[in-house]
Amino acid sequence: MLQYLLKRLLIFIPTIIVISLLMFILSANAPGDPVELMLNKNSGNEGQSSQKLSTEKAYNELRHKLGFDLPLFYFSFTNSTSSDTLHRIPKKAHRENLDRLSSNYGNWSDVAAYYESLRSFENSVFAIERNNSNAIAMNGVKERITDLYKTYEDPKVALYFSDIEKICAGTPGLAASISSFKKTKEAYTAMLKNQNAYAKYIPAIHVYGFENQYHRWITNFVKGDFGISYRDKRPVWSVLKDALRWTILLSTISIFLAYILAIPIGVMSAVKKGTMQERATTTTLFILYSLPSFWIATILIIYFCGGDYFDWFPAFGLGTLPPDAPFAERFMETAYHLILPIFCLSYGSLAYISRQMRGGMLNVIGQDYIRTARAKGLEDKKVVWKHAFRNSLLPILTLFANIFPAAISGSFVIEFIFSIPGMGMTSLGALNARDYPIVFTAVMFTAILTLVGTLVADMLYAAVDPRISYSNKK
Amino acid sequence: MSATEKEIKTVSAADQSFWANVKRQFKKNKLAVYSLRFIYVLIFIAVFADFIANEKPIACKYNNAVYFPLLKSYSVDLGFSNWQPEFQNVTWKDLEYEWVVFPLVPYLPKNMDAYNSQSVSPFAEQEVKSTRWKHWLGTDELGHDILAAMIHGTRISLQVGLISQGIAAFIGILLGALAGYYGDDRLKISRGRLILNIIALFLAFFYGFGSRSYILGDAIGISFGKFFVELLISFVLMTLIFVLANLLAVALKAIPFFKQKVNIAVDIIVSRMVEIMVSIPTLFLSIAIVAIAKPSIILVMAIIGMTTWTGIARFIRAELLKVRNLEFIESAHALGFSEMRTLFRHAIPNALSPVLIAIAFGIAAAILIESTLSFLGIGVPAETLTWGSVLSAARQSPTAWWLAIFPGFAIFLTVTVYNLVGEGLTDALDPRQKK
Amino acid sequence: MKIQNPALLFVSALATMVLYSCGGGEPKKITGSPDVIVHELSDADMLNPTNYSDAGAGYILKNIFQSLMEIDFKTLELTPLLAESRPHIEKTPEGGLRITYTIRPEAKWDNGQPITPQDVEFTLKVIKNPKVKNERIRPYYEFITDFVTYPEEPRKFTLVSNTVYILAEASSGDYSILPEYFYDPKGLMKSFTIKGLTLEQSKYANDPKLAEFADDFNSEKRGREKEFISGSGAYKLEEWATGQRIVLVKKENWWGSQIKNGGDYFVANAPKITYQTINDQTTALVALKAGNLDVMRSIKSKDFATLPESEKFTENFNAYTPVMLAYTYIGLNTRKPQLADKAVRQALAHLIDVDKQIKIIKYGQAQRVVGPIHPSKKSEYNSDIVAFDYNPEKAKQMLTDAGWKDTDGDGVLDKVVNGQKVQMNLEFTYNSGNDERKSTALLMQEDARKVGININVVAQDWSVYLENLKNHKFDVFFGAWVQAPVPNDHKQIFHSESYNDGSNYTGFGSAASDALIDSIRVELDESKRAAMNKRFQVMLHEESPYIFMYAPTERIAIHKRFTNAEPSMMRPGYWEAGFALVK
Repeated sequence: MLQYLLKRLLIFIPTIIVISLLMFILSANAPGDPVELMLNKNSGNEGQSSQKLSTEKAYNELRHKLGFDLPLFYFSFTNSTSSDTLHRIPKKAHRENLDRLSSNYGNWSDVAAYYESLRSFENSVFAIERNNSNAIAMNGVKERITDLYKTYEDPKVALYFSDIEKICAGTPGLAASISSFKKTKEAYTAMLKNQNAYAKYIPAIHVYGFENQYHRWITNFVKGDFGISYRDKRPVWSVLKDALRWTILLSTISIFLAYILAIPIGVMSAVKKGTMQERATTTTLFILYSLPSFWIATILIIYFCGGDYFDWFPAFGLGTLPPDAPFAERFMETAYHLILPIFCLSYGSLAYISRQMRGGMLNVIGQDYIRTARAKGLEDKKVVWKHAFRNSLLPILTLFANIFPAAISGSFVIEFIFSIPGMGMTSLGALNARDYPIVFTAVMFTAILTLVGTLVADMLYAAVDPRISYSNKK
Repeated sequence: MSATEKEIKTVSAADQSFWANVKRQFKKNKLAVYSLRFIYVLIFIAVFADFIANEKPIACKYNNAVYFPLLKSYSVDLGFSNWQPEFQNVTWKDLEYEWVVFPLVPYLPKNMDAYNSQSVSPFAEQEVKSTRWKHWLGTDELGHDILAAMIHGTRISLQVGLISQGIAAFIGILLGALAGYYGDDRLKISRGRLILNIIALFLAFFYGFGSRSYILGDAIGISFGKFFVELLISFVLMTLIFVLANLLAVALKAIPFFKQKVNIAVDIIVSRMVEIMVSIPTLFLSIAIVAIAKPSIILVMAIIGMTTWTGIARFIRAELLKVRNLEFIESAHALGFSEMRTLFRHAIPNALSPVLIAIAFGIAAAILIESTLSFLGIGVPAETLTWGSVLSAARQSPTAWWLAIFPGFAIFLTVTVYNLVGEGLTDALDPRQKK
Repeated sequence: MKIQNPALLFVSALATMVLYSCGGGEPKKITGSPDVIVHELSDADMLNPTNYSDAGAGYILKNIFQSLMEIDFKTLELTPLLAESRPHIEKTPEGGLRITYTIRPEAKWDNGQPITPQDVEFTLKVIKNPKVKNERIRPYYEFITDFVTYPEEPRKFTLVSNTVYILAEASSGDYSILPEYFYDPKGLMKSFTIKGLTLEQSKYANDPKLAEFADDFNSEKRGREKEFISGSGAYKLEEWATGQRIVLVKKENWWGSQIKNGGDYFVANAPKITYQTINDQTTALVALKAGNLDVMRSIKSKDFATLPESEKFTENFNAYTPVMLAYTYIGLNTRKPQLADKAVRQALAHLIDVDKQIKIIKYGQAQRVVGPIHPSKKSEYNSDIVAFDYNPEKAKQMLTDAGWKDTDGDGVLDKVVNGQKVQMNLEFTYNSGNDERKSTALLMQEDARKVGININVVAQDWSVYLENLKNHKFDVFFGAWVQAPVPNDHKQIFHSESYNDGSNYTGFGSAASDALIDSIRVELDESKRAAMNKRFQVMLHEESPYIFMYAPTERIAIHKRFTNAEPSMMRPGYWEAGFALVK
């Protein structure tokens, strides 16, 4: 048993690494640029964005500060067309387009040459003094260049090229940059000519060493430095600590309540299977289960929280007593604020847990040894609770593995409706804002707790049912 | 010991008519039978939703010609024919017919009745031409007919529930059974095969997804049909690579080093997969995926299915861990029954009870998750009305009880019915019930 | 929270019955605490006056910090705050500006020291410190290149700008002034100059002193803890319960109390202001009725329309609907082949029944607009422009005239553009979760379908939505711009230079429009500018890159026990510190 436990604990390490990797891959591929979002934050529910300009300089500065200009990982396993220096190009849209071009044509060096020539062409256009006679032509050319940075389809590129040619020919001031435009065109034709259609089918491994985003994050994580939130620039741990306090309180009570109520209900409905009493309970539970909590929560608030109807409960928050108030008072106030949220969190799971309990119980009650016990004249109650109960716990224990992660992940819907600043709100807000330090840390903690939960559940299986064993006795 | 003998006897007797027996047992449970019939009714409504609630007439005579616009719409949608100019983009109910037969509910969920917008109650006075056009279950903010939304919502709910749990059950039962049955010590393969398969895994990923990423990405942007075809090609490629690797493995057996058997800890691997899956927040996945592809029902179903299989897998695994040491399985072994047959005939049915409950609740949960996604504003396309989206609209207008009661009741009925059928099946599959 | 006598009775965990002695059903007298409780939809991100980024934090900070000037709440004119008067502005021969201020003699920090030009200089240096995390605002002050003090007049100073710009006056005085003694006790920033930090930025990229200062200034405590936040405003931070509330209390000896007739910003009646975060609108509305909130803004149009039915509301609250300085619009991507022709864009404008949308979606709480100038700016608003009427027949005709016909009989218009057949399929994107935008899209979809335009309504996650707009990956979208009561600068939204990296999502712009925008930017004469702005509106109406929809009215509820609570067009729409109890 001890050996098994040690083995399991050792396996934690690769599992956690895999999870952290998966998170990293997901976040790297999720649309939305965190740097862009930080500079251009959504203000309020009207959804307007700031009218003011965010400059490219600010973008690059911030990108470097956050380390997004580093390679993602120690190495990359891609096809041979992908470049190992792509991460240095600042704009996400440019990066994506270049990657696509090199995947299409299979010759990174030519693609890079084309990009460089396009850039020097852009610079040469920007170097030209703007005046009233050439302004509109210059804007035309600049727009085409911007579009070229994001275009990989050949006909479109050709269209933009011919447009630029036309504009340049018609504007005397732009003649100076024609030579560098020619170079761009040559680079593009060279790229087309030297294409290698099979290069993308050859796997390639690029090695980047330790200066990469993943390494930076995971080493800091192990050291206990979880980073700084992108949104409010607070240390991640400080943000999560605030949120965790409420979520853990809320979920432990509601989970405890759900089990303490559901298990007897489940046993009862198994023992009294088929009676009116059982059917009534089942129906009630199903009705509860079918009502989504977001709806129930709102209805409860509207009718019982001092709106136009009854004034029995507070509608939101956790109370206003200062931290130095007597503990008993604060406890009472918090408890009073938590009644409705806890109800909304637990009622739904009642049906599921009690159903599983009932299933497990029915399974056991039908077994021979229980029948024998009953036939021997043992008292019904005693048979049920003493003999059958323990053996029917298996499905419940499986559910048990989810308890730990559930206790810290919180419920966005309930926290949102009751304005409780818990983990659900924090993580969803972070996710929407691509605040990855918060997202990563929250997921990593959930992952670790999930692992612990499964291990505990497995240990409990063996404790409950001696037939399950983990030692290699065979 | 006598009990075990009896079990073995029933086991062998049941061999010929196992499923016939299950059927007979199931029929004894009246409630489950009625529930099953109710599911048939739901399926009927789902299949024929277009003919029960639609803006187009089933048949009509217009300008001295008889038309069947509803049937025709199918052929137009499939690209076989086109609408005549006089029917293009018309508002069907405003046309002057000589005679016309409309479906039972003459609305589609997407139709907006401008005269009855801003949530009209079923009992309030409605501005309609006649009772034929009444909104029997009221309307919502933009004037959508709730009855039509309920009828077409049946199709969506059924799809979401069945398909997502189908995916979940398939993955969950397969992986859970493998883990529980083989445990950590029963699967042994040759070293050569193992190494080749690991290499094949990398190569399969590379050729299936790595070098085809742009093809797949473009396809998902165009349509699901196209994406599915491309995905299929990827899978065929991957399968080919694995087949190749395993053929090679046979050849490699000639070398003693590669021939040596090594143990595969299936349970450990599967359990880790479950843990990893559980650890990654569903919402994160949903947001990431929905952001890349266009929102659609199929996507919602796939996401729900791909994330909820872990529960089922764990149940199967837990039950099998218990069952595989039971005496009758060991005896079946002793009597020379093949491993596979033992597994599927006896171990799995034994483990089905919690799984069926999980699936029954999973179907209901899928419907509810869909409604929560509506609450968050992701998931189904804007013009699609589902039970869940009507219910989440109800939250915005607490006085409009009809927006809450009807979808709520529909979800309740569905949940209950699936559970009763699940329970009936559990009882029927229980080998002890056969005396 | 304003609960009189919170005596509660906690009974059991199972069936909980709680009695709440809050006056039950009998009508409440309109008396009560002078403290004000304001609703906020989300928690502020921080109370650091240069680094914050959300609007809610900005409103709260106005009570803690002061700037040289502020836009007056009622007149919407610039009014001096820490400055004695509006600045003296002169053009320099080099084509720049010299903006000269004098600080009020009464102005004092909490420690009794006077506020000096050195504090202003320090603030600007903080803003320009490359290590301070204020990338969002730093670019706006790059036009200030030097700072001049006058030893003989210790309260006078001059900001030097190297360009002429209509917004130079407004932005030269709109940043919160920080006390140097409090934020930089070690004098780390002393050795730097504004000129150096602006013009020789590369030199300071790795300066250890700048980094040391920034580390302290960016730290969590400087944005959240009351001991580390201090300004010259009437209030100081008392408590911040994360995600729940921020409490400000009035300072005992605030310098501003001496100033009479200084405008609204020198009136601070409320002894305590609480900003209560309630995330859900529905919950917040119940809390308002229950008496837990005194002020609520941006109430949903639909809820606002039904509020008069609630007795609890009408007894205790006044409802206000000041016009908002904002407008909504439907943006059309002029670079798409379907929308490149202005006739098509105008036809689309004829397909939207704006009045019906205002009635159904905004419950009448909006005013139609025809251009980016707000109707309240009477001198600049072009009232001669007639808004596009809802006229599907005309739209259909315009589309036919423009060459869009259904040649293949699939019910969708098509046309050959650049040798390729293009179907009139459009995608209408909006940010997911915004139900009003969704409804607008669905109503437009229905009307467009009848003339053969197929509109696909797509919800996008906010970040994706924003990214797609910036990269011009859209056909049609719904947007809104919020404005400040300062002269309009159209460059950011309508100039063709803003097509890359700016907010010109639609790709509008011609030589004529660019020239007009450029000349509006540098015209300091108001009547000339008004004429130009009118011409610009005609231009936009003709080209229709935007279908201008409406200027929404704000929906505010304020408790009846307060007087001096008249709302304003300026966000957030009220000055909560000025609220006084009805005598």
